[in-house]
Amino acid sequence: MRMMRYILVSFLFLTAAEQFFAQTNAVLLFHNDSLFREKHAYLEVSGLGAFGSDLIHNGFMEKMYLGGHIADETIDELVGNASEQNRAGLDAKISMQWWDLSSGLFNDPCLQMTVGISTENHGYVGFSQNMFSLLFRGNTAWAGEKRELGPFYAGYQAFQKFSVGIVNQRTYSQYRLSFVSGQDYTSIHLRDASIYTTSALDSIQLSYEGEMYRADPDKKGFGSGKGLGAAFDMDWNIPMKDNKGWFGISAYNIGFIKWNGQTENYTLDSTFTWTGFDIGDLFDLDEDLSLPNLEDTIGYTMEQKSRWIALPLDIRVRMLRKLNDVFFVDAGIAVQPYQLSLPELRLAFGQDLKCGWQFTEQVLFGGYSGFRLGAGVRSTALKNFIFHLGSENILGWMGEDFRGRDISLAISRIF
Amino acid sequence: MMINFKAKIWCLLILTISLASCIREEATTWNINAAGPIAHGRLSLGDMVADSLLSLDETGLWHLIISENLTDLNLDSIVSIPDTTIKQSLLVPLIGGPFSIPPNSSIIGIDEENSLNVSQASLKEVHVKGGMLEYTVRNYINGYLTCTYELPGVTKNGEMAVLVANTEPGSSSNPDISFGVLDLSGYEMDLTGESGNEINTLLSHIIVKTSADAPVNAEIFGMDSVSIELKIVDPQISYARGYFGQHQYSLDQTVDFGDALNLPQGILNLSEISVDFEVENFVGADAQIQFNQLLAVNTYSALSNSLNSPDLLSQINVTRATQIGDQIFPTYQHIAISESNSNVDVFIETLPNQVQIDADITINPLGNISDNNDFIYTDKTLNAWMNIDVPLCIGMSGLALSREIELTGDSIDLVANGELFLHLTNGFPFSAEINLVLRNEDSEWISNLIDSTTMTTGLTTDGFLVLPQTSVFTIPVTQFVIDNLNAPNRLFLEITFDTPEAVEFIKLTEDNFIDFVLTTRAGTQISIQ
Repeated sequence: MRMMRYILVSFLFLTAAEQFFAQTNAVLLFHNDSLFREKHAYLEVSGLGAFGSDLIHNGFMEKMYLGGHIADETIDELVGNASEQNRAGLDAKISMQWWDLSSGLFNDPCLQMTVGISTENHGYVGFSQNMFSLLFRGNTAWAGEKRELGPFYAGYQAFQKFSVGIVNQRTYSQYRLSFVSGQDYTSIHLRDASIYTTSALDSIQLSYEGEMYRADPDKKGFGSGKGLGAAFDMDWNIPMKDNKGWFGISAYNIGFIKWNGQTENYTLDSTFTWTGFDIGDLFDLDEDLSLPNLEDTIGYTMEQKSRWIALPLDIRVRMLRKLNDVFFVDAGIAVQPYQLSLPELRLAFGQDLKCGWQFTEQVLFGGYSGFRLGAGVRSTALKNFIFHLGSENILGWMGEDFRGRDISLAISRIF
Repeated sequence: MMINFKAKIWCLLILTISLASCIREEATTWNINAAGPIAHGRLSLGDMVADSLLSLDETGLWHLIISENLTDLNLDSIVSIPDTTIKQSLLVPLIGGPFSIPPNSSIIGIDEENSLNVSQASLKEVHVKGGMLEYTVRNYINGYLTCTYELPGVTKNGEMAVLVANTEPGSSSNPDISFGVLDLSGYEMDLTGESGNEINTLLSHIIVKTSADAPVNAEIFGMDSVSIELKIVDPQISYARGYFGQHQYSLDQTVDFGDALNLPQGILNLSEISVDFEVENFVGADAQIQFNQLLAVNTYSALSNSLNSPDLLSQINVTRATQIGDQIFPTYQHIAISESNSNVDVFIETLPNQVQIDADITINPLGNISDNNDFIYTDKTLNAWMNIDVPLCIGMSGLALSREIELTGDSIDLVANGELFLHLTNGFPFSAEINLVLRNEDSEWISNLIDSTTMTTGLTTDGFLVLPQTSVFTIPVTQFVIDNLNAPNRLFLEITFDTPEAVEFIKLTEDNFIDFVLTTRAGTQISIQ
């Protein structure tokens, strides 16, 4: 039952999307001098939220997150569309960064100190068509058949980062070291799983092999400190010759969390046959007979010990190139080797209108979803403020049938 | 400035709407079609009758063996010794005074025979397993005294009981008091007095001396006294010898089988029943037992039947046990009752959960014929046993085994619609009718889940089971049923057995059982809050 609960919870909370750890804002790269001349500090508050899947569409996810009844037709459609293996994921992040533009570190007036704080949530789930069908349609149609359910993957990490680093005011290259406080961690990996329901319905055999980890269940909530770790983030921007554009290489969350000694390490390797409650004592001589309660009957072994887990790494490479004074192209690739998402290719076409507004339209492929269209708008129209609003799956906001939805919002203030 | 203010308002509004739109307002639900087992079990004779009451014979036939002690006589009461107080006031055998008596000088010495207050028996010897001997010495003499109370007839491991009390100087108006206690456990009392021919008589020897370590001489006047009080408190007798008297007891006892048996209701035909009455007498006294009535009572059906057995209902004389050394040789009386000399089959077919016994018992009906040599060990006296052997070779008509199950009412938020399948494999060589009824807290009918449906008979040859047969019953599961199963209601299950003909006898063996498997195929709604 516990494993079933986790699988269901995984579907509730763990869906994935594109990474929104966007590299350095193009507005900054193209308006460097004009924005920061004789300024002392820069504060950016940003938030990102995204989910995506190659199967689960937004209508389904809305019901899972916000409540409501999922129609039989919706589930039938998803089961019909499912591949042998499917994936979904979720990312959410809120961060605040402060640049001290007057610190002049190492006697270099362009090297400034930056500090920041952020909270991040990352989750993913990889599941078979049969697993999805079992959870959402049941096993009635499989009476007399054995069905493979694996492999099944699900993972979730939530943590807070407290960072300090260096930013190069000329290139906006950043190098940050972070202290990481682990909030929550859950991981399930079933390499093999199957279910067999006899045709007489008198037994259900469930076989599974894998492991599950769960961080200290006694601590709950934001900042619970179930683990401690460290991380290194870098965003390296290299200007092209003749000020034509930029090359960018970034790597986020190079690091780890050591989850504490109360972390539950489950080994799941059992064949469990359910034949119903044994109520052979129905007529026994106990006057206080009552129906038995179902107890946790899933076979597993569990030990509590600390566990080192890598943070969800995100690596990106980009090229930002001006076509003329107005138009530019932003192309790149993003890889998240920690998660189930595919390498993501991105090609954006931008317009820098010089009146304080910058627009981008982009085409993306990969990640947890497939092909997507994105759009963004950035503005420096308000004095000393930079706004950013964007989505890498703009169609996701237009209908329930699209698989994934995301939004990123950033407000920056220059002092 | 106005632009900034408006922008802030818009941002705040958008943020508020965005957050508000993400609030989870209801549970996520979806429908699944689940199929699988819910419960299983096996119903066998062991579920009807405690395993300890069942016995297999060499042919594999089950026998119901019930062995019940019918007597609850408190026979140790016939030799009980009540609490007894012995008071003695001892006078100094002198006139005048004062006399200065040096330490360690004898003042008073006296032998006494003390009669115990035993009215019902003439006891010559008792062994005590509990009780106390409390003594109080009051010294009215102006001197340090040592009072020694010897009980030659009271011994433990061969040693006489001796009570010693030391007192300080007292006066006629203000005596010095000494108090002590002796645990009587394990003591043997010879109650034949100094001559050895008395009964209920305890010999004592009292010596009063000035204390050997008295610091000063005692100053004694003639007629000074010492008072001694001896109390035997709550003596418990383990063995007694003597004449116990003639006693009559009325036995009005109910033996309740309720906790040991779960006997069904209905008409049951049994054959070859035998009942043995056994009386075992460990007491060295004769007894006479007259059973007036043995009544089998079924309190559920309000049926009752008396056992009509001339052998049992006539006077039963039980001769006394004999004792050689420490070994007791009990005597036995055995009365065999069967269908040929009684109506024991009718008696048992009442399916009694109680047997009411009315009997008179006389101890020593012939008087003192042992010359005061009756004996009794109080932990093992007179026992009467009823041993019932019922070979489970039975015929049944409408014999119902029922059980009411209290539902916990622990609400499970379940929405479902489908069917339950009850697979019943009948390994009994007779058919059975199933009723499964949903009742409310007051056991009032709500709905029939299975309504008088007959289960297929197991196939038999020569009265023995050959092949169990499986029947499948379908129970529609509606939301109405689920809601009622979620409430603190009751499930009443009744299995009514019928042999093909009520007069036909069928043998029940260790191979007889009913297997039941409850499965479901139903659509249900999963809900995640």
